[in-house]
Amino acid sequence: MLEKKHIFLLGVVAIGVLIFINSNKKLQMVEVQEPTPADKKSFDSTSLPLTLMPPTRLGEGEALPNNNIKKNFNSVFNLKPRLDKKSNNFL
Amino acid sequence: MIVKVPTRHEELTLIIKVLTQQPTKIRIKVIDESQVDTSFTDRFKTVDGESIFYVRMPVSPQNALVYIYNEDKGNLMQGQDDSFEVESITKGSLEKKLDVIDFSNAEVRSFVNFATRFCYNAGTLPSGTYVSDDRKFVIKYLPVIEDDGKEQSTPARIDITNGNIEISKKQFIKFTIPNRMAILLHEFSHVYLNDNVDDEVEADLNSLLIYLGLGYPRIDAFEVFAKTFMNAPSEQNKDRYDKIKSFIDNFENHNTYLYD
Repeated sequence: MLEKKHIFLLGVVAIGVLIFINSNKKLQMVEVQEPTPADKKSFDSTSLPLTLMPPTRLGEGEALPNNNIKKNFNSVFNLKPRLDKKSNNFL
Repeated sequence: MIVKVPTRHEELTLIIKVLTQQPTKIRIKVIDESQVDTSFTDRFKTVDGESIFYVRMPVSPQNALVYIYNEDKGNLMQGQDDSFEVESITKGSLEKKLDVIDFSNAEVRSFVNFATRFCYNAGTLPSGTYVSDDRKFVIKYLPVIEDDGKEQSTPARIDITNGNIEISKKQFIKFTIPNRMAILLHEFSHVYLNDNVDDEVEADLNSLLIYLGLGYPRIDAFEVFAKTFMNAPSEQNKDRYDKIKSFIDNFENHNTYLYD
């Protein structure tokens, strides 16, 4: 007779095997034609999940957020940034 | 050949097994079936015998189209090209290392969310100014980046006085989503993560830590750093490339890389 401990271990192994099998699914290969521009015209971003939705676009004339960069580049220890090196402020 | 793969916006790794009889340059492209200019990888490898392509996809479309073809012959239907064989396409899990990313930093959390959404949709977004949900980050999506009316070659840049990022739409739409993420994280790192704001190598490595931790493909990072940030061959760029390669190798081998 199997002891409870063995049944538990068998259960754990079975779950592990199922996870492994399901995590690597070989796909049936379905060959398709190259999509035409017309195929892509119907795309609607509202069907995307929240994590992939387009970011907010500011309206015409809407003011930019006024953000202060918290990081203190001019700390006593680092003496940064070296703004004098650039002709403008872009990196 | 083009194979349709239902990816259902999951995080996954596509494992593509290819077989050739002689050295053959095999191109792999993964694009969104329905959204224009939305690509997840575009790479090639010379395959001699059996080879496996791993396409890491931290973001994926509802349905992906996987292009697999001999670069010399172009994309042909199955049966028209016997120079290679696709043995299998498998969906595997995505390995991420989120513990290496400082998600306790609210700026990192916010920017990763903003950048992911921007990069995923950059192919269809109109030019304009985009802001993160907390309005801390601003991306000016411009047709081209100009200085004094002259078009600049850079695809993106950050204003170190206010953190606003400018992006050239003309250049950005050509990039894969991982390429776009690598570029945006690099710009973010300059201002928000670097100790030395104008240190390019420091920005490379700070951004790579997030990029690799999120599970984005290594090859796309190499590609974008080599093509975009190091467009001129120089001793300084070789040193920069070596540091990036060493960092990625160490990341894969679970070693800690100390930047000095």
